[in-house]
Amino acid sequence: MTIRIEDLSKSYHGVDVLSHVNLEISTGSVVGLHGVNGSGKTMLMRAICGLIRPTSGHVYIDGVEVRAGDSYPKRLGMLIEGPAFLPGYTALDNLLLLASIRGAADESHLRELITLVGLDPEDKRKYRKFSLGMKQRLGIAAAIMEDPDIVVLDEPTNALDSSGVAMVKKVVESLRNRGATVVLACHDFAVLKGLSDQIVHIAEGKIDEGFELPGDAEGGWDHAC
Amino acid sequence: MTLLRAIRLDLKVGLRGILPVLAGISVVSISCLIVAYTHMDAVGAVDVAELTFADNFALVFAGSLPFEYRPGILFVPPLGWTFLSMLVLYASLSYPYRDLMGFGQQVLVRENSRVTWLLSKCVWVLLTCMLGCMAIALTVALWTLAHGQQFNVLLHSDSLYLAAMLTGPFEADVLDGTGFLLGIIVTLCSLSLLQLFLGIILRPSISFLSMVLLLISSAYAQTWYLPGNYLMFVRWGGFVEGGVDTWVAMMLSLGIALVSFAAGLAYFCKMDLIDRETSA
Repeated sequence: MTIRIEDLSKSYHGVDVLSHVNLEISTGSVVGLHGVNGSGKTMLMRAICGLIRPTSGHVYIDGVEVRAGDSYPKRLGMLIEGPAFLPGYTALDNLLLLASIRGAADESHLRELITLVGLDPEDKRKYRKFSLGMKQRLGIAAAIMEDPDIVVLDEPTNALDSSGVAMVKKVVESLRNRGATVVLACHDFAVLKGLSDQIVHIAEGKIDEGFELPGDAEGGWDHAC
Repeated sequence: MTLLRAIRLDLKVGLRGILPVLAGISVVSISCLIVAYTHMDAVGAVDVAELTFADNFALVFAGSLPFEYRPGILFVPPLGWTFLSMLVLYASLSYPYRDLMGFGQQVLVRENSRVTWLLSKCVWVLLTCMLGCMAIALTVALWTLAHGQQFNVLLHSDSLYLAAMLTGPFEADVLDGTGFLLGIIVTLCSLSLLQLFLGIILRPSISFLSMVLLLISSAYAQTWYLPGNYLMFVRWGGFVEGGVDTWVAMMLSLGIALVSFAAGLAYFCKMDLIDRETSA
């Protein structure tokens, strides 16, 4: 699925969080968003998911406009600003509840997925007892559980150890291999560089085309826009 | 289909932990009845055996006479009535907003529609409010059973003696209380919906505070535009001259519910789903 962002701006509490962003992400590509905290990466991801209403501009997915309120991307998985699950339920129960909305994932698939992200589907601990890393792993599982065509991952390696980072790489690779479009934000530039087909640098809500990405001198990185 | 699944999910998740609130509702209901029945000795003119389930239900929502200012007299809202109404509203206070700022965003994206999400929450709020009413009804039923009284919906003006030591004259001695009882449920449901939308717009704590102020204002002044008046037996137009008419109360409550829903939906569809505790 192609994502096209046209002249997107967003003001929030009087601050221009995004300013005239233009970006096109082709089907099956992995785009990395790079920028400091508060640069607008998360807001851009929220706009793609239809969670915010742009002040101006548009987001199109396969030519259909995403409009907060009445039109959402149909097959989208997301992990934005950390995972949010029900504290009184286990990992499997949380995913089962989410899966019940679309009925698109069965229990055996969810069990496999929980194992894939490094958790134990038989673990009876409630989510509230999870460590930050476990919560993050479950968030990644939720984002990919229904084989979405678009996956938005905001800082997926937060709180993860090296095995977790390796898992994220594996997940993103498998998404790429099956043709899903991935939008990824990550503070770890090495991870972002290793996974992304295209890296977009965002600063103060704008795409900074002139930014020289670390390692650019060695070549091989496709600047966006 | 998605809406039904969403409602099922909300019922499963949102009703967890509601038992203590329902227990609280029962305790306050019994307290209201105990307080009302203590008036029996003071008045001495009420044949308690003649009272019914509806009388007892109405006594739980007795309320108070409108406040009349006199030097040296302070206004005190009817505590049982205020706590009971607050508890019923509290039962549905926090889940929708909490869900919206967390797990519910995942649900909302899967539902592909904010309208579906909101409709599901409306149904949940209404059902939760009705659960609160059922807790009251069950408590009242047990009380009625314990006192060997009749299970019917006839309201006796005698019960107004117990409610506020009112001695009449009244518009009637016995009336069908179906409208009054239904009016209480409809009013509580409409206030719950109003609370839901205020909560989404302003945050639940501010919404709840607004509801408490509305209830206390209603206790202070008898007027049709303060909906807390619809919840008070001692201000019911069936018996009390100049009281609130049941059908007017119901229509106004439905109006509050519809306006709340329309305004809430319009706002919610344009709302940015960003946790207000976190910055952009």
